[in-house]
Parts: sequence; structure tokens; C-alpha cells
Amino acid sequence: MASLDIYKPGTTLWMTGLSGAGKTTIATLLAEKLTRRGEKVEILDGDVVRTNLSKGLGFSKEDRETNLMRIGFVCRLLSRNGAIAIAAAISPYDYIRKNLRKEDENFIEVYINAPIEKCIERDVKGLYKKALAGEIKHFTGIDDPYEAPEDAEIEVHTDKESPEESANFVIRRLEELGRIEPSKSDEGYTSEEKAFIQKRLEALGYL
Amino acid sequence: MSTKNLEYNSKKIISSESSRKRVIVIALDGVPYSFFPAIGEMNLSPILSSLHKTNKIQTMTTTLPPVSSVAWASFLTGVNPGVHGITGFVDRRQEGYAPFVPTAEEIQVSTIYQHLSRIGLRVCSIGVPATFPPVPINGILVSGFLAPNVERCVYPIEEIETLRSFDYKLDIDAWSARESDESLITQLPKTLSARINTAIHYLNKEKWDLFVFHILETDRLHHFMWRQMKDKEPKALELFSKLYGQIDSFLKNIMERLTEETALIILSDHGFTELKKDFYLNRYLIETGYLSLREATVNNLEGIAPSSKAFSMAPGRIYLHLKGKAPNGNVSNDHIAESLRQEISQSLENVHDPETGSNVIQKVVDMREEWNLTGFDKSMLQLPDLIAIPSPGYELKGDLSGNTLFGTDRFSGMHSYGDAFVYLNGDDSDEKLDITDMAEKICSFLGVKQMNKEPNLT
Repeated sequence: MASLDIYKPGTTLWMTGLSGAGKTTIATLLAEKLTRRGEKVEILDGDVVRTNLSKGLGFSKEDRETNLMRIGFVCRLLSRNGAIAIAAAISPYDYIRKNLRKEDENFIEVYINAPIEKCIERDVKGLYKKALAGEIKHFTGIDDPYEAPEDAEIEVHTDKESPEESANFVIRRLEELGRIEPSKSDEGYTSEEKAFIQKRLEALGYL
Repeated sequence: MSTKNLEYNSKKIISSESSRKRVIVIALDGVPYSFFPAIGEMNLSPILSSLHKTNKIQTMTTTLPPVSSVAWASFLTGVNPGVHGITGFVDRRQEGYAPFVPTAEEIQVSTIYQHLSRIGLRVCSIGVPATFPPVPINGILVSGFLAPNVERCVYPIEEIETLRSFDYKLDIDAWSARESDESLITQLPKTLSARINTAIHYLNKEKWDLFVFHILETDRLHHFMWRQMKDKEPKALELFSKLYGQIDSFLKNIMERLTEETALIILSDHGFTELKKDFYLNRYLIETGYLSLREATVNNLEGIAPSSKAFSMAPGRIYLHLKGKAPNGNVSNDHIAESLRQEISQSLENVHDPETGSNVIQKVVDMREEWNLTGFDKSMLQLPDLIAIPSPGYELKGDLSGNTLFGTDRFSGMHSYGDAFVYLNGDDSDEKLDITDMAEKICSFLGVKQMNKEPNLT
């Protein structure tokens, strides 16, 4: 399938999940794997974006929405120009994710699923400890809701899979969804199969 | 089959003003529109007869040539063979003369499976020709004719266990069936039964927005038993009754459980007619001086002489030996090519069967006009310049090894040109339909944007 762009490039890969679920880890692994396959990739990490694109925004519902819509806007620009834009942001509210999807025809939702207990146990940034102690307010999963997606195109379970396994599963789903060209490991006929097929066509009088 | 599963609807948000349905497609390979009165008379399928009697079965045009892999590639892509690139079971690349069997990798445009997968809808396809090798889709893809074996016919590969549990087979053993009717009679119902059971399993178990099940066994039955059925031979009538009975039960099962949210399409890809004789088109080109061989007997196109002006591949595809399209091509300009096209067409349209005096070839079609091609394509394959449409009963072969113009084979049925049918339960319009319209119909039912509609593809 060579002459036309069947696998049209450009995808917004929106990773949603609790803090500590593994969004950044998987996004980084994915970026490496996709880059090796020749894709143009950018990561828009929620934490990093808050130091530049969304500098000054807080964690109120309004500010969170503004932050996510800004990330979504940049992802849309990147994906429509052929890049894979990986957004790694908690994005806890279902309606915001639905709005992002509506505005971006290349939107693919990836649910980085890990139970809150597991995330508290990991507590990579020490934020859960503070939230549980009441030092941080409106912390998702503690005193602010996380609305899990019901129909994400891709869902990984980071409490049961290694980051490598999760990243490989995302790659497989991207192939299935026609977002990246499948790897060419299993194509065409072997020489034995060619001879067999030829005999079958002869048997059916098709030559 | 649980009703619950048939009520499943994807929750994907799709930009669409129209209502959405799920779609089931049941493909009956090689069942002619003109056969429906006989289906009723022989009481082969009450379901199909009832649809025919209530005028719900429509005639449908199909691809030229009417070959399964060509026609189903058009079903899958919504474009004619000149655009998707599959024009027969065998083909050759411009760089040489060796024939090869094109696979789905040669299809030059997106298929509806890829289109729907990219939107996020789920597809389950079982047995459709021109889908090997099974590429990743958002769902399950069991390749049909010409997948080499069950082990390599399915995506995702994990589904192989399911196929094995149903003793899934890709096709009958045609060599064995050639040798004895008993083999055919044993194999056909068994193969169909295993495949229907597999289809019902996936209908129930899988989440799908588009479900396609292709029944190849009708084509095989017709190839082997068409004349015997017409002659009312008991063995043939019994096998027709058995196989169509299996199909009827399956269709009944589906139709009883359809909801308003599910559209059903039943269709075929070509017609069938009685096979009287094979006509060896390359032998004719040799006898009329358009083709010469390096040696007295050659096995394939690698043995043609550089001076040849034209050659053929089944069924009835004729290629000018064009400079730039074949290593030794010598037809060097449009003027000469045009003269050759006219000469060969006129010559073929005047071939008569010496036994009966009847015309062997009904018409020769210029494929640039048929496929709306404005110039030579960029494909690595050479598209046929002409396609000869035989009179009913004459099968056009590409064999180079024989010395006679006519011959006979084991088969008593052959594909007829056009004469396909379609039933669309969610669409009552009277428009004339072609197999290339089906992808558009499916997209409309599903409420998604159309595919392959760029100006250069229509």
C-alpha cells in the first residue's frame, strides 16, 4: 500500500489518569518508541506546561479547564500537522475531555488506570502525603473527583503491567486504530506458501 | 445469540447529523440475481425467496473482471479496480514478467476497515477475500481467500485459538473435490458449518459496529455443480438444498434478532452461468501473430518473446507490450497502441466456436474508458489495456502451455459478468447500485464521513 497516504499521520494522544498513575513514565517511553519508528513526537506534560504555557494558573476547576484547553489547542495544531502530540495531564473532568475530543478529529484518549491506593503508595512527588495531611486542597482523588473515562480508545493498567508492557499495548492500539503504520514483521507469502497458493488457483481453474 | 450483544452501541462521539446504526454484511459469493426465481422454485432458502418476492432484492453491477478478489477489493474500498489496483488473482509487476498473487498489500487506497478503525469504530470481518495479510484493525480480521493457512489468517493472532476451537477452515480442498463428488459433498457443508459457527460466536462475543461475514462455499458449489443442478441431477440438488439450507438457517437467526439500530446488507460479488468451454486467449494471440514465445512451450509470461505485441492474463485481461511497462516492451507510442487496441478488439469480437458457430467473445472493453483512467497510473503493476467479456459459457484462460484454442475442465459453472445482487434492509431507495457503492452505504448507515472521496479517486 504505497502510493497513497493510507496511514495518515497526526494524532493527539491524550493521557488521563490520577497523579502517580504513570502518565509521564509511559509518555516518555512511548515517545522513544514512536520516534524510533520515524514519527514526529512532542510531549505536553501537565506539570511542565504549568511552568510556561500555563504559568500562573492554579488548581481551581476554572484554571484546570483553562490549562487543559491550552494543552488541547497545542496538541491540535501539532497533530493536524502530522505529529503525535502526547498530552500527559490528570484531566479529571469527563466534560472537558469530551470538549477536547469534539474540537480535535485526531483525538485518542488513553486511560492510564491505577487504583488510588497504588498511587498513594507510589507517591513519587510526595503530593498525596501533603493532600492527605490537608496541606494541599482540591487534590484529585483525595478531595477532588477523578471522573474515569467510560470509552477511552486505549486503557492500560499500570498496577498490573510494567511501563514497557503498557507502552507496547498503546503502540499496538495505535496500529489497530490506523494511527501509525503497522510494523512489517508478518507480511506477504513465503516461497512455500506461494507455491501452495499457485496450486490452489490451478485447482480452482482460476489461471 | 444474545439480544444484549446486538444492542451494543459504540459510545464514540462522531460528528454526524444523521442517525447511526450498526451494520451486518452477509456476503454470498457468486450468487446471481437471476438465480432468485430458481431459489424459490427449488425451495432452497425461504428467507431469500421471501425477500425476492417482496422486491427487496435488487440487481447490482460489479467489477470488470468479475473475480472475487477484485470485486471484494472494490467492496472494501468503494473504488473501481483501476484505482485499487487488484485486477485478478494473478498479476505481474512492470519490472518483470513473472506472475505473482497480489495480496491486500497491493491495494492502493484505504479500506473501509481502516477508515472505520481510524474513527474508532469496531470492525469484525470473517473470510472476506483480498484481506490477507490481516493488518491490524480496531477489531478482528479473519482473512479469506487467498490466505495460505489458518495460522496466518487472523488479527489479532490471539484469536487463533478461537478459530481452532471451531475447526475453522479457509476453504475446501479443491484438488480433492476435483477428484470426487463425494469429497465435495462431504467438505462443503462441513466447512460452511464451522465458519457459520465461528461467525455466530463473534457476533455474540465481540463488540462491533461493522460485522462482515463472507460465505465462499456458494461459489465453490456453483463452480462444481452448476450444470448438474440445472440438469436436476439428484446429487447436485441435494447438495444445493443442504448448503442453501445452512445459509437460510443462519440468515433466519440474524434476521430474527435484528433491532432497529442494526442495518443488514446481503450481497454477492458476481453472477454464475453454465461453463461450456475454456478459451485460451494467449493461444489465440499467438495464432494471430500478436504474441510469440521464446520456446514452443512455456509455463508463464517469462517465456514470451521480446517481439510480442500483447499478452493476456485470466480472465480475459489483455496487456499491450508497452515500452516502459515491461522490460522488453516495444509498443512505443500512443498511435501504435491505439491501433493495436482496435485491431485486437475487432479480431476477438469475431472469434467463433467452430462447433456451434456462436461468438466466443461478446465484447472487448477499453479499460481506460471503463475505469475513467486519464493516463497511465503510477502503480508498480500494469493495468490491463483491454478486457474481453466472453459470451456466456466460455471461460477465458491465460494458460500459455497448451496448443489448442478450446478445452474443458472439471467445472460446470463459471462467473458471469454483472448479475450480482444486493439487499439493503435500511434503505428503500430505487437507485441503481454497484458494488463500489457499498462502502458509501455502510458509512451512511454508521453515520460517519465517507471515504476515498478525493477527486482523483472517483
